[in-house]
Amino acid sequence: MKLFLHKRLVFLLMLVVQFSFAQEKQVSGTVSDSSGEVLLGVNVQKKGTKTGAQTDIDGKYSILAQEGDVLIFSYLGLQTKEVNVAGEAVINVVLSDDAEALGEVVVIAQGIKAKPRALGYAIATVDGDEVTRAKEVNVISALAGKAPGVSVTNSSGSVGASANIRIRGNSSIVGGNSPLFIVDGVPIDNSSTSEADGDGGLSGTDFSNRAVDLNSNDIASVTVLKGLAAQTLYGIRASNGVVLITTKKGKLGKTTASITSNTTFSQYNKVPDLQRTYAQGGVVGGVLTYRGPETFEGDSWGPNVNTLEYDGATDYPFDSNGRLVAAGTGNGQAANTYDHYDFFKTGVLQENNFSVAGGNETIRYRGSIGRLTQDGISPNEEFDRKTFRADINAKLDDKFSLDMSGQYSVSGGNRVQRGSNISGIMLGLVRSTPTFDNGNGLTGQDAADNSSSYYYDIAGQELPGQRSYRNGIYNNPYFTVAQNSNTDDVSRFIGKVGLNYKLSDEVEIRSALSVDQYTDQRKSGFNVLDASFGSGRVINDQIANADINWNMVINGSKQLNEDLGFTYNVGYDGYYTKFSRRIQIGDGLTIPGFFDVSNASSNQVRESAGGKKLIGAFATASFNYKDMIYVTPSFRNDWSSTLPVGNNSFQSYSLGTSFVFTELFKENDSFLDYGKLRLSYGSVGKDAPTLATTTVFGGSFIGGDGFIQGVSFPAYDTVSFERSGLAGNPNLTPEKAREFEVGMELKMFDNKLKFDVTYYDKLSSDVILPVDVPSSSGFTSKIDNAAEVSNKGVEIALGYTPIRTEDFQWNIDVNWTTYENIVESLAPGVEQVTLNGFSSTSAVAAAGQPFSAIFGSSFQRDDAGNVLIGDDGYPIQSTENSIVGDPTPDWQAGISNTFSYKDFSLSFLFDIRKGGDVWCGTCGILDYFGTSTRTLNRDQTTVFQGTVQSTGLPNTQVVPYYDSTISENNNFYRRYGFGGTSESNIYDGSWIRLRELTVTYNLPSKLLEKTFFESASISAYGRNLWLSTDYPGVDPETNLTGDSNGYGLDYFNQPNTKSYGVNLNLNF
Amino acid sequence: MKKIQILIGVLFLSLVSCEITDENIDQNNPNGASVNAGAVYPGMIAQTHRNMVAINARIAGIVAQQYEGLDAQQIAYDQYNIGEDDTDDYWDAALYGTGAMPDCYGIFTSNTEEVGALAKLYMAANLGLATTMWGDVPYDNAFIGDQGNFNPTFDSQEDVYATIQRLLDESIAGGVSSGIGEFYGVGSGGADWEKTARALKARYYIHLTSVDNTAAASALAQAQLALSSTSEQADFVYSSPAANSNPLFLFDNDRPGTLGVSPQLTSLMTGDPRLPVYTNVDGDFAGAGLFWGQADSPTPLISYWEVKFIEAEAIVRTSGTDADALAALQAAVEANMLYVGVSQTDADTYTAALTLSGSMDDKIETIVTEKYKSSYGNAPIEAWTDFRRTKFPALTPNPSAVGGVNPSRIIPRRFLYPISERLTNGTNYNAAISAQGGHLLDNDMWAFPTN
Repeated sequence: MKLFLHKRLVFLLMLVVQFSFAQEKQVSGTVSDSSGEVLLGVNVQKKGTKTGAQTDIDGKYSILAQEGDVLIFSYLGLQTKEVNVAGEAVINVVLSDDAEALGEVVVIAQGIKAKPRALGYAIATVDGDEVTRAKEVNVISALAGKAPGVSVTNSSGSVGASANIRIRGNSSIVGGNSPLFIVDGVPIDNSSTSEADGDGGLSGTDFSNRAVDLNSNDIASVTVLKGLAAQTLYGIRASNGVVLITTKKGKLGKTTASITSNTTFSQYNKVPDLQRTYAQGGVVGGVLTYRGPETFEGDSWGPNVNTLEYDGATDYPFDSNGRLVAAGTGNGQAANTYDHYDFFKTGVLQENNFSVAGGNETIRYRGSIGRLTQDGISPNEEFDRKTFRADINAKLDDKFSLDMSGQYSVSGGNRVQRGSNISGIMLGLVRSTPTFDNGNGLTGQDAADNSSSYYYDIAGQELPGQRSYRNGIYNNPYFTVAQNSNTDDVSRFIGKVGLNYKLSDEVEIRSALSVDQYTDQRKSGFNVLDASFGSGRVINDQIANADINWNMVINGSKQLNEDLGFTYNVGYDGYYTKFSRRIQIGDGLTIPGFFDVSNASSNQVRESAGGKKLIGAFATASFNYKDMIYVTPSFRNDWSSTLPVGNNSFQSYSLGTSFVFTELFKENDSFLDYGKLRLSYGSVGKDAPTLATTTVFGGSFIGGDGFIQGVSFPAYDTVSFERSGLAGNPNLTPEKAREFEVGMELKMFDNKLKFDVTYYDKLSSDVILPVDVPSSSGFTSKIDNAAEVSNKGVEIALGYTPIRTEDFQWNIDVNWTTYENIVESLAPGVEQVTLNGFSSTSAVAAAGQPFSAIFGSSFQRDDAGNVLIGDDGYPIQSTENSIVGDPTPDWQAGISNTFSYKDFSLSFLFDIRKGGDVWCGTCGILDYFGTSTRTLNRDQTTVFQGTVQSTGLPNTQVVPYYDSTISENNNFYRRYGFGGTSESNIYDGSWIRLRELTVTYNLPSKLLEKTFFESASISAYGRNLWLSTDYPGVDPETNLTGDSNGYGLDYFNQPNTKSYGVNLNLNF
Repeated sequence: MKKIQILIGVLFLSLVSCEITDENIDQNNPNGASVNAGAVYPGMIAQTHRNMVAINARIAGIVAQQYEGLDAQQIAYDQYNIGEDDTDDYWDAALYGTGAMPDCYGIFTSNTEEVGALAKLYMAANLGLATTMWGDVPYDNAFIGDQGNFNPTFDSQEDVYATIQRLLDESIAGGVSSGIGEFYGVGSGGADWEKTARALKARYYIHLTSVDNTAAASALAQAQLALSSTSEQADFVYSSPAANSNPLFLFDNDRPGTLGVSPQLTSLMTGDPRLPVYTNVDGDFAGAGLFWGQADSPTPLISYWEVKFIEAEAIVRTSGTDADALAALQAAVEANMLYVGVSQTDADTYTAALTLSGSMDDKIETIVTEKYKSSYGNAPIEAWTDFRRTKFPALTPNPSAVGGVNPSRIIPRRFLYPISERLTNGTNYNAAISAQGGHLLDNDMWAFPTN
């Protein structure tokens, strides 16, 4: 009732305003924002007078004015605009929401707003259009190449696969290096929980990181806070940076509705090249011999395919053409070879979103629903997401206002197995010998839907055999996708209630309580005959996580005199998280394919639960001298439950300064529109991992054999416990990180050229990690404050508008990043810590080496670095493993171009990475099995470059790659063990890719006049359409271990994808 | 205004009253004080029996040519490309680290002599595995990371052998015969633990025949007090699911097609009635009808037949009568044959054909070659040790052997120390290597000089 009254009063007022000047000449028009939405309540004032008007609900205004008058259009949150009246009767005005406009504010932390010019550190903003342009499912993937200092690594092109984001590299060794995600002030969980029976992500399924639950269409903008000074107010959870997501909100004005609908097609973008010249087999009695699937042998070191033909047998389960026999002894039909990659199909993604938004003087709202369904490039691979979101902002009275938002999402799908896993897709697929047809005459989904591709009947047996090139030793990839399943089902609620109270014009109190709660119900089934779990296995895995955040902030400002003022913020916040997980593993299925506990002959059950509480109090102030010099000190104290009792408090502080030097000569007509220098220093404390202060006993695990499964007690009808190999540490102290940052921002030539450069130098010390200890001590590691990690880097952003006319505009945005991420020191006596990987090749933190350096086997070298060659003419393998690669790129860049002409716009983004090693474990294994094109040189000889160890002379001995008179095991690709030396498989991961390409056409308003649509647009887009790289494996952008601290590893990763599609957007 | 002040007051009050560190207590894992010996014994025992036949034991079986590598890593092991990162898991998670030995140490240092006696016996068994693979190994100041020593020194192999005997003596004196803590997996038990301790004493005495003139006599004395039938031996019986099954069965399940029975063993055992239960025409080691490759195949800690083989060898070495030695040898072979399911008639026929003649070396060759056949599937490490100690049975190095960690390409004499000790315990690691003159695969260790 009150609202209605209020609204009527406004109308009445407007009528009065109009009538009182009715006798003079009228100027009228519509005021809208840059998105085309009309604005209600815009103040229109005649400069130098008190004459004014406001826009109505249709954004229309009318005011008396005469030629020469200047009209001032102002609206909270948008740039104020002055327009000269030149006799027109109609003046339509668009108010831009340019974030850098003087007077405009950005949200920096804890809901605190600041003017960009006041910031002493770099931030990067990506607006909602850029996020949704290429229709990435995962909002993190959509940030790739768009902000300096931000690196994104996708684990693979699997649907819903995790993506890893790092801001300014890594600083923690075992803790998370992922930034804090905040959606409208609500910190949200972006973790990814690895498999129930996992090995740190080396195999199994790649599950999503939880940011996948966000619908990009709800996002208005993403702001990345990079430096520690920016993060002080958030405390420890922000020590790896902050990704601030602002969602779209309702605006004052009439209710608008929007529909977007898009369809995207995807295909694999790059796969290792496979040879189709040599058949399955090896050396038997000094002769190259074909050895078919029935031998269980996995090698493609056999005779040339053109020396083989079929025998025409119709009862041969592995090939409908019959067995392969030597040419001349069969039916004359030459042996076929197959393109194994026809396993992959075209994936289809469909997404529909609907939203309504609007508002009046007292309440603004937006509601949206989104539905996304995705079929992956592998048969039966699916991902599905539904999101519901509502935002309401209500003015309760003059002083109180309420902020509420809620999001509910349901996501999940059927995932594929990958990695070091004989039940994975890629492992069986790319090892397949050229002469074996995995699909048995069919390809893609058809082959997966037809069991004749992966089963064959065995007379006298109830169960069939698994039809694969090694007779079931590795899964036929079609068996994997058709008979095994891996589903997840995540229900998530994120909600917030905020109450703001305006104490006076200068002081307000804001408080908020938010919750982020999800459950993830996973079920995996390995059917009977699976290569890993031949008797079948079912895993039920229930994960629940709840985060609760609460905070209260007092924001105030005070202008002391004309030149000097300050704003201040004092507050506190709390965070409580709890996690629980129950895993049930059932083995031995009686009914094939029935994945239910009741069908398992034995079951193991495990549970884990944990929690953590953090409390912090903070204060900051920003002093402002003439809008030219800003000084912002901040301080925060945290208390964390993970640190030892009595020593659980620690401090963070920062000082930021900004100097807008163009204020000094703003009266001059300089080419320089805006110039700012900034300088900041921050120091942040960080707590320990949970449960790190004590040593515990856990259920006994019988291990020590990496080739076979371990025994987890309870087993053998009894329970048993053993001391954890990880020694807890009751004397832990908080980690510290300090960072110095300096930068400059320039805008020139009427804002046509913008330039921003930043240098930062960050040192993390007392980094807490489990330090490897000699296992002879009775432990394998101990938790300790044991490392120092440095990050130094330069970030440059450049924006240029070469052409800007009424109809045509061309923008170029370039960002460029380089950084060095070094593990400066580790605990005394510790040479390195393994981050992730295999015992043969791993990603490690080693003192003096780049973070996540690749460690593995290599060749022996003399002092001059020459490879040592044995008397047999082959290089000699080193007896000790060492650092063989550095995955840190030399630099990364994104170059984006946008052209708009009238209603058309075209944009494309190139993403460039220079340098950065990747270990192609896949390549080494394919070489070993002889399926890679690299092994086509098997009929050639070579002289290995190096020094003969016994003589010290340069090697001149000619040796064959493959002496097929002895054994395939002596050939160059096999003599150094399974997968060869790590060194041989390190490749440069540089790339240039067309990350995004979009063409958009906004339907002209004339066309829409007779419809009820306000605006409509249609766009076509492509992602990863072009990739140039020398890397021989799958797309080097992928990472086996997904969202973990180890990267640079590729071992049977699922391929990445390229995609293209069409999007339709309607507003009414 | 008042309301706000109250609100603020309440909020700040809640901050002060938070006792947050309670959150950091592990709800799912107990702390040491609440864990009794009975809660640790089963895992320790299961781990030890697995150690007898898994990973490094399999590699020992490959280099001793009981097994043959057919694919991937197993081929590399067959070519003696066994690096510092291949045998490390066994050190880190089977013996030391999260393996069996710290469990043993924890039990016998915090319990009475009688409760700890069986842990001492198992400690001796595991320490024996460690020293036969690596020579000098940590013991004297190992396992005490919780007391702040994270850099144990390596004891000389001679000291380690003395420690093994001391542990077994203490175990017997402490009352191991009561069997407190015993666990047989799903087996039915009935082990004679004192006789098992004697059997282990005999094994670790006979190991030293190359370096200690009294070794054979000591071994003989203990063997005669040790196990007197297979029913007295400590057999661990595995079960389902696959993860809990016999490690050989499980290896075939998890890594099919990568390992087979060596043609060396097959040809050596031509006509032997055990061959059909050891392997089949495909050279498999697990599968239908194969005794040591079933899900529930047992693994003895030490077998009665091994005791009798030791006795036979010790009789020969101490110049006892050939008749006594032959009787022991026949008893050994018969016990093994009956255990794996050979009929009494076939066993009798086979043992009746055994003879001992010629030089002492000839007799030892006969005994150790028979022992080699009997250790298949249950004690591959002993087969490798016996080969290094006696050079029997006569084995030819793999012609496809590669250099690298084995420059002379001979049948390995030891394993490289694990990468974990190199990276975390460098000083002691280097001291141990220099004390032994190197640690590549062709470096002899003290107890097993090349004869």
